[in-house]
Amino acid sequence: MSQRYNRFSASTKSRDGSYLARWRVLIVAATFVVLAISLLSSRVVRAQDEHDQTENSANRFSDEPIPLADLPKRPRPIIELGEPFLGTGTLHQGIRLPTGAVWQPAFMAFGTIRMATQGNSDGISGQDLLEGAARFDLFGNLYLTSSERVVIGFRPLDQNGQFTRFTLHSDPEIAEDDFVDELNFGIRTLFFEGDIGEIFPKLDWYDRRGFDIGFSVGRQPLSFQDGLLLNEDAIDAVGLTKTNLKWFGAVNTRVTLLYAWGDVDRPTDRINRGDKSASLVGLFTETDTPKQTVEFDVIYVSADKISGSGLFGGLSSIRRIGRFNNTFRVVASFPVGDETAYNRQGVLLHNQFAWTPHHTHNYIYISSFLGLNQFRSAARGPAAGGPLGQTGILFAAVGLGRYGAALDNNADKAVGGAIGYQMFFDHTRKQLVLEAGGRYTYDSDVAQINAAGGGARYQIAFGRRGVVVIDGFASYDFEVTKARFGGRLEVLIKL
Amino acid sequence: MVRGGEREQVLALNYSPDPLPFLRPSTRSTVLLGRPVGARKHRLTLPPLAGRWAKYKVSADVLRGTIGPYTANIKLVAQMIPVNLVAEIQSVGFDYFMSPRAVAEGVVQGAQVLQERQIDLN
Repeated sequence: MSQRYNRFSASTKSRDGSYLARWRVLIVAATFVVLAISLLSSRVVRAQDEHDQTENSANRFSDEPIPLADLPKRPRPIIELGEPFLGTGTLHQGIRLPTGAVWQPAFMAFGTIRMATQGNSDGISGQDLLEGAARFDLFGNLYLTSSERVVIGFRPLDQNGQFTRFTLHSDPEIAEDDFVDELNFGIRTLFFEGDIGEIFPKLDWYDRRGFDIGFSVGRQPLSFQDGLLLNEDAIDAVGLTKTNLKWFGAVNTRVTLLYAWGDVDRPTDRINRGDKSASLVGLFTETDTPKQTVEFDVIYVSADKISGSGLFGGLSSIRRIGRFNNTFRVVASFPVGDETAYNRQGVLLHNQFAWTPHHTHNYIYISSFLGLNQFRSAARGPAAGGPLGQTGILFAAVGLGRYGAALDNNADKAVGGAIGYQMFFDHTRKQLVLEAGGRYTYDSDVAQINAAGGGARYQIAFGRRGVVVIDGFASYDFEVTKARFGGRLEVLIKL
Repeated sequence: MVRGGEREQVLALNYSPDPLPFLRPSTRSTVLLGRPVGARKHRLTLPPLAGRWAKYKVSADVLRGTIGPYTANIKLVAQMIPVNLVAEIQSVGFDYFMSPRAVAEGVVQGAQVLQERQIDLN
C-alpha cells in the first residue's frame, strides 16, 4: 500500500493542476449533494399517496380464481437427524430434564459452497489478475429446543483472509504457485445459546420473575451497527441479553452485555489484524418506539500499549418517513492513552435513504457518508474490509479471493456516497443492481483516495439450491488518473 | 436489503440479498441480537393497561364549503390479516377455487368492530 501512495505523489507532480482541481470540485459537489439529500430527506420529502383505486388499477385484486399450486418438497439439509427442519409430522415426546425443561434434540448440517472466476485490471497498482477461488462454509446445528442450541462451523477452504485459489493469469507474475490451497480444519464457530428461563422453568413456572435472560457463549460471528462499529466473523465471547423491557415509554428495549476475551481482530490503516492482547466489553441496546428503532452501543477495548486501548460508541435511528426508509448511524472511536494504528480518534456519519417505487418490488437507495478524522471500528474480521462496505456494492468486498472492492472502504477524512437501483424479475428469482458512487479525501494529511465508479450485479437463481452471480465494475482514480476494471462469475450452491 | 438500509415487507422472507431465499438456522447468535440477521420486527404492540394517542389531521380543503357541527366516528377494528397479505401469498393459490379478490373481500367482511364511539367536535 505504501508503494501505491508513493505512486500517487509522483504522478501528482506531473499532473495538470487545473484539470485535477476541476475534478475535485465536481466530486466534492456531488458527494455533498448526495449527503445533503440523504441527511435532510426527512425535511424535504413527503409521502404522496399515489395509489390508484380505480377498477383498472394495478392495485386491484384479480377476479380470476387461482388454484392451489403444486408446491415442491422442502430442500433438506445435507444431514438431518431428529425432528425435520421446517418439516411436517408428529413431534416426538422429547426428554424431560430435572430442571423441568423438555428437550427435543435435532441435528442438521448445512452450508454454502462458493466458486468464482474473477479478475481485475488495476491501473493504479499496475496489476492484472485473473483467478479462480473457492469458499466452503459448513455448519452443524444441534437444536435442543427452539431456543437452546449448539452451533459449530468450519471454513475448510479459507483462513486469515486467504482463500484456496488458482491463478489463471497475472501480470506481473506474483511470487506464489499457480494453485494455493488454504485447507484447514479449524473451528471457526462453536457456541451455545439459550434462555435461562427455558432451561430452568421450575424456577418460575408462571413467568413472573423475569428469568427470560438469553445467553450465548463461545466462538461466534458478531456484528453491531450494521457492521460499522463491530464486524467479526469469529470472536470468543460471552453475552447476556434481556429483551421486552419497557423503559421510558418505549415499546420494547433489548439490552445485551458482552465480554470478548479472544480472537479479537482490529482494523489498522488498511488491514484487519489479530490482536492477541485485546479483549472487549460492550453494552448494546436496541429500542423500538412507535416511530423508529434506536440503537445505542458502547464498547471498551482493552489492549497493550502497542495496539492501544479505546472507547467506541454508536447511535442510530432506523425509521420510515412516509413511504421512504432511512437509516442514520453515527459511530465514533476515542483512544484511551496514546493513538496507534489500531486506535485512532474519529467519527463516521453514515446514512442510507431508500424507497420502493409503486407497483414494484424494486428498491432505490442513496447512501452517503462523512468521515471526521480517522474512525476505527472496535473489531473487524480479516475479510471484513473497512467500515464503508454498507454504503454500496462498489464499496464492499465480495468475501471471496483477491477481488477487492471497487472503491476503497476506509473512511479516513473522506466524504462520498452511492446511488443504486435494485430491480427484481421473474418473481424475484432474478435481480439486477446498478450503482454509481464516489469518494473524496478532503484532507491532505491522510492518503488521498479520490475516485468514482459504476458497477452492476446480476443474480439468477437456478434450481432449488443454486445462484449465479455476475459482477462488474469500472472506477477511475483522479489522483493517479488511472482506471480499474473488474468482473466476476460466481456459482453459489446452498446445502 | 442488499444495500440501502431496511424496508418494510408484508412477509418476513428477505429476498433482497440473493434471488433464492433459503431458510436455515442462523449461523450467529439470535439471542444476543434478539432476532436473526437480515430480518427483524419493529415492535409496535400496546402493552397491557397502556395507552397511546393517535393524531389525525383533516385539511381545510376538505371542510371548505361545509358547516358544522362536526363529529368523529372512532372504531377499533380487529381483522384476521391485513388485506395486502393476500396479494403477497396469491402466487401459491387458494382453496375452493377462490380468486384473490374474493378472499380479500371475505377478509374485510369478517372484520369485527370491537369498540365504537361517536364524538362531537364542537
